[in-house]
Amino acid sequence: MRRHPTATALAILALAAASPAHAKDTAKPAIDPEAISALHKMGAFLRGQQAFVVQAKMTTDDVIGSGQKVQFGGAVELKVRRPDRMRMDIAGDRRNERVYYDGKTFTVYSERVGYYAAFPAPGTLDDLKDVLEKKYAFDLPLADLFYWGTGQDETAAIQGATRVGTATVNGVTCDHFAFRQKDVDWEIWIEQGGRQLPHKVVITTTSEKTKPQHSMVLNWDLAPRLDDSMFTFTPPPTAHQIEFQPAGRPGARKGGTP
Amino acid sequence: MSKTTRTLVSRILTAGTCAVLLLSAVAAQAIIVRTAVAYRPVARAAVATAAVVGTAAVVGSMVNTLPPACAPVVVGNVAYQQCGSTWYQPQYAGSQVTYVVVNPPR
Repeated sequence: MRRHPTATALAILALAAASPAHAKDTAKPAIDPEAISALHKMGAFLRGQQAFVVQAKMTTDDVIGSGQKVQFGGAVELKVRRPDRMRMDIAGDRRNERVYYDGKTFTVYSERVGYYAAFPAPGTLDDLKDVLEKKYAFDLPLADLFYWGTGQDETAAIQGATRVGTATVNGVTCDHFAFRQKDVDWEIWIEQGGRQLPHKVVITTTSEKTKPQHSMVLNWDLAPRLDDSMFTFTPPPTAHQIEFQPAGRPGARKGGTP
Repeated sequence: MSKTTRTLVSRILTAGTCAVLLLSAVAAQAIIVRTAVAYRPVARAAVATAAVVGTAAVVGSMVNTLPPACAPVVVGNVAYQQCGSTWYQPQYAGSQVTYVVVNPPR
């Protein structure tokens, strides 16, 4: 298709007029207020969900000794009933665990080795996430879902924010946003319309030479049937309880002389 | 060392917070989302583990992976792994089961 000369001239004029602003933008990445606003809306929407099930497929890059980047995969199913129930089934190349929280006890069970560990948990999921992170250094997959919209997120750290465009994730039409902050570039795909749900997240660690990525694609059920029994761990006869060590305390406490 | 940001969990919020994954993982942080950067030195972890096991297993030392040919043993309702003459006690540390060398329970 041939471009009309007048249109071309206008386009050139428009580019010329825009160039000073454009040059300024390249010096410092722009923050699009709409992108920030979309994050806040998504956070508020997530916080408003009293019960949900989300299935996530994830990939995580790592770098092996030779400096080569390799990818690990995994799947997580998360069930949440606010304020005090959570269940997670983790099936990955490097982790296979089930996590239970019933408002009283947090339990993690590794079926592969037949061990489980537990600690008395705070009464709400909000408090539990802080205990897991700060006291136990327990890496909870999909942890972001518990932080978005809590005010514990730090918009100030975002150095660049832009809407990339419209994209479809698993048949769902989403707005695609890209954010930049120190050491990390990340993208998120948020559902358009009334359900501001994240359907995909890609995180790139830019401070590493190989720029490893972590990605997840999410499938949501906002009207799940959740029974109390799903959140309480009943140990199989073959399972043994082991100690849950707080972070920074590497040794076994009994010294092997029971 | 490789680090992959696995969740947007805070580095800023909790500047001193670490997430231990495998041998070590550090929560870096992100932003609006909390961002966690996890340091996951897989290959190095394996090497370190082998070194610990290969030399005399010092009581109190911890490994992520057991040497081959271990047997699960329960003594006094406490779970152990017996690997030849070396006994390990499993525990959850960070996000995984790790094994601490202990004195033989019997």
